[in-house]
Amino acid sequence: MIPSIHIKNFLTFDSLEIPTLKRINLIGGKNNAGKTSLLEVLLILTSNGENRVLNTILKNRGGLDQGSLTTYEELKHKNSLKKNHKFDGKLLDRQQDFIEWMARGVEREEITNRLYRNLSEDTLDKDIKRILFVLGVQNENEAINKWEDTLEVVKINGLLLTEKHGKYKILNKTSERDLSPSREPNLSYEHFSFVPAYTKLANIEKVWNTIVLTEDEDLVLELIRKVIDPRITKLSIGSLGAKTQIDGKPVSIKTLGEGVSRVLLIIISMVAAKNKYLVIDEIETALHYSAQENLWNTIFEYAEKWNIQVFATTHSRDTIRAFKYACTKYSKNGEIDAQYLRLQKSRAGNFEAIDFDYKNLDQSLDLNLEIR
Amino acid sequence: MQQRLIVEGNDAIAISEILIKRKITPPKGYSDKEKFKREFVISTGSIDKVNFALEKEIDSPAVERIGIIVDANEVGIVGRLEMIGNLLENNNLQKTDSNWPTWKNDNDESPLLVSLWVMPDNKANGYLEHFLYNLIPNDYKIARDFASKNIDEYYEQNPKIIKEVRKQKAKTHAYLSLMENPGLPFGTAVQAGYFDHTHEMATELEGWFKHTFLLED
Repeated sequence: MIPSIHIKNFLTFDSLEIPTLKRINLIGGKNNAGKTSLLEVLLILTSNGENRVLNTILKNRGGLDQGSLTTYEELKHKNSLKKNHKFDGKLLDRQQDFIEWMARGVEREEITNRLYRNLSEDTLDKDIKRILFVLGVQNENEAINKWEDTLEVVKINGLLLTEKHGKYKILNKTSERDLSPSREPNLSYEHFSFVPAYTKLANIEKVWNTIVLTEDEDLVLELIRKVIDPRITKLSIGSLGAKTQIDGKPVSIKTLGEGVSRVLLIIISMVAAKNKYLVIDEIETALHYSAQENLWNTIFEYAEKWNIQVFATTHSRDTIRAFKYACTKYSKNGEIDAQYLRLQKSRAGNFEAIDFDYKNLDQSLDLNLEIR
Repeated sequence: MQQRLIVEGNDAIAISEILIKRKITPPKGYSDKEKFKREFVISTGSIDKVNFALEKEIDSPAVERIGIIVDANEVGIVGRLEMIGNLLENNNLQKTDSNWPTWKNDNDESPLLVSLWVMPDNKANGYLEHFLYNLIPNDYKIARDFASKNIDEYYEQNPKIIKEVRKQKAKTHAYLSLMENPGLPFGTAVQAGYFDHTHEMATELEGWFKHTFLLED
């Protein structure tokens, strides 16, 4: 679990500190309050800075021409960002700060442990090979010895950095392929599941392909019976469409409405997120308020059971209310490992997250305070 | 720009009916009655919840004006002023010179003005009912005096029943029970003319409201 986060000079944020993150975090706030940026930071963080994630985010923000860069170093200099875009240049200017942010976000001891852990794995992945290459060594033991002598070189979130006078410089070269934005319709990676604000069959299919024919397939069926329809017995998802079997007859998911597709995507993503992070943008999309309570109950039950940390954004008061009902249902002795956060610019002009724990949320909703 | 009226009890309806009868324009952005009820007025039901709502609204940078109406009750005007004042000053608002207790922040980008009205009149101990009792028109003098005399006598004979300060509540409700249409809630009773919206205390309340909120043109 990510226990807290402090973002400095990255994307929209000059600075945003959230001292406590809980197992389930619902995030609200007006447009431009930084909700999407926060999710993007979480995706970068939880993916260990995977190139595809970073580049997909850049692409989605209209800031990167595919195949135009060969190294991250160039990101800081090459005039490859599209003009006349609100995001134009922001990441470039702040790339160095971002790296510093990541470095400051992780204790050095932890960095060292992470590197050792990586190096002691039997199979050296691509990143480890890069480390060995940059360190100029041939094998793991030599790398560890080198590491001990080379404290200025650190690997953080997939990037290999060197530190000089408190500044960090990226060392690892990336291939053109790595820097190309992902062509995949949504992000689903080793460390997290991401549910975008829109629901497309391709999204569902992609996540489903990681689950189908594994034991998790039964878990998906178990959950869709709980949340969508207890009569469902089978599920088939492919490029030609998604179908389910109800009362022994095939039924196209499409005919069940947009909300069912949304719930299906969230459920499949949740199963795929066991022991990982589940990040959901605008969870309420296409969902009637009555369906949200059931969905939140499921999220609360399985996030705990499967060790998932959940981050979801919303604009909807109904969603917040349904979230609160689930908090009430699953709280123990008045406590629950969940919170609602409202992102906003403070009166002083800084980004801040106002936290509404379960009791505050309950009272705020009772008083009909504007908490979105 | 958002504005909020945080009230301790169920005073909001009676107060808004008095202001409507005085034909003052609604707060800016709240001409729509539903929006006025849903967003402008926060009826809390207790002083603890007033504090909670106040802190949350101070945190909300879109809110630029907050009016608070609480009862002095037996705690008294000084106690109420101190409690609310401490909360506001802990949130970086400074007390300003004004006819009414008022605090402001020092922030041109995100200005906030908070002003307090302590029922009944920012001076005496009491409740909304004390305020309304003063608004009983001379036309209904007989009913008012009858209610007052009998309540006084009743409590003299049963002194342990209720605190002195709460006796006025009983008098106001007893007065309403004697009207042609008995037992109306306060807001409806204002509409029915059982309270005089032209009384000088109502004029003072209007002054506070205009001082606190930005109104539609």
